[in-house]
Parts: sequence; structure tokens; C-alpha cells
Amino acid sequence: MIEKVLHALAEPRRRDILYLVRDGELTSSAIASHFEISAPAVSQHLKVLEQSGLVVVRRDGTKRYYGIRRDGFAELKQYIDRFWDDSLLRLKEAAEEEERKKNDTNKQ
Amino acid sequence: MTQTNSDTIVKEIFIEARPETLFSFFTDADKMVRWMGRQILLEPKIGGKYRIDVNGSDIAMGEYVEIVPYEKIVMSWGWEKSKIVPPGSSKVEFRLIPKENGTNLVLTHYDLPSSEIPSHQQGWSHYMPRIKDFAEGRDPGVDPWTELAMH
Repeated sequence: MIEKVLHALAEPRRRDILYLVRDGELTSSAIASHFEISAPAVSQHLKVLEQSGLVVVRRDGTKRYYGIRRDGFAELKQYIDRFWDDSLLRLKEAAEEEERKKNDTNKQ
Repeated sequence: MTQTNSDTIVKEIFIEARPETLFSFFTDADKMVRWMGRQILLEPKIGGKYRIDVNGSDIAMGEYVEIVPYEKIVMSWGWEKSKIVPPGSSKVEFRLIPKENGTNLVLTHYDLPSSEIPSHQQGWSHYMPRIKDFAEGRDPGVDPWTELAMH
């Protein structure tokens, strides 16, 4: 999941799209009108953003509205949060083992 | 309207090891790899770079910003090939607080991206005066773009 988020954010136009839809939903054609790149290229960016979970699509008839998915950002934060939880537990184990080794050496 | 462009994570853990023992786990690649990542390259000095292969696909990168022996390490932090969290864009601080029988380790990860995305790209000057209006308490009116999208 995180690879998709990081990949999605790596492209400047995708960050611009996120910025555009931050305050409200927009159709893909409304989004495309702000770019000089082709509509299919914009669609491709929207697809990547949707797959990353940073953007959510709502269908209304034939129209597709794109909006920001704040949970996507929460997931990024959760990923980093879990990463530190796991790492710190491993650090605790490794450092305590090291400390015991040092103490054993001192006793001998 | 207040804008927050970043987020912070704080963690605290008690470790039964002296700060002197714990400290080397931040400056010695062979020790660091025991708790973080699969492969680590580092240059443990202020301004020195590090590269941590976290899981085979995510690569964390940054520099040592502050090193106070046995007390504190501050590293800039980010991911390779990521432009919103590029190497060095956020900051991780580790504080080692000596306690009886061990050390309290406090981790603070600053400047994480939130959904309040700052944009410095060209082409969005449209939003800048609007945001400024909001910030200064004026109503910028209906966004013509939003209206366009709704009909």
C-alpha cells in the first residue's frame, strides 16, 4: 500500500491534482481543463491516485467526481506509526541483549 | 482558516540498557540493522548521510542533523523517489533520558505530510489569493471552478 502512496505522490502533476480537489470534488474534465497535458494523461494520473487511496471517485450518472480521501493520508501516517512501533520494539530487544552481554563480560 | 501542513508522531519506550549502550544503535550500521531495515549505509557525523533499505522496496534517506553523544540524535528523514516526502523532508529526533536500570527513549517524527498539501507548483495561483482571503477573514465567494464542476 505504502509503495502506491509514495509512487502516487512522486509525480508533481498528481500533487497538483490533489491540491485542486482538496476543497471539493471535481469532474475529470474540470480537472483536465487546468492542465496542458492530454485528457487521457490526466485520466491516467487520476487512476494512479485512486489506486493509491489518496483520491476517491463518486459516480453520478455518466459523470465521475474526484475528491480527496483523507483516510489515505491517515494510512500513510499509520504506516509510519507502525514502522516506528515495530522498530522500537526491535531496538529494545537488541539493546537489552547488548547490555546483558556487557554485564556478563564485566562479571567474568 | 488555519492551515496545518504537517503532522507529528511521538513515541516513548523504556529500554533496560544504559544510554552509552543504546547510543551506538544509532551510529553503528551493524547495530542499527538489528532494529531498522535490511541494509544500511551511514556516515555518523553531522551532515553525514544515511540510507536505510526498510523492506526491500522502501528506501529511507536523510542526514544526521544533530549528534549529542549518549543524549540525542536528530536525523532528517524521507523516502527515495518520493517528492512529497523526499529524502530529508521530515525530521526524526531520538532523545535518550537516563533512568534507573535503563533509558527512556523518546522518538519524535516531525513534519510529516498531511492532507493539507502545500503546493508550490505553477498554475495554482488561482487558489493562493482565495486562501489568503480565508486566512484574513474575507469571504472569497463561490469558487467559479467548483461551480463549474457542480453543473
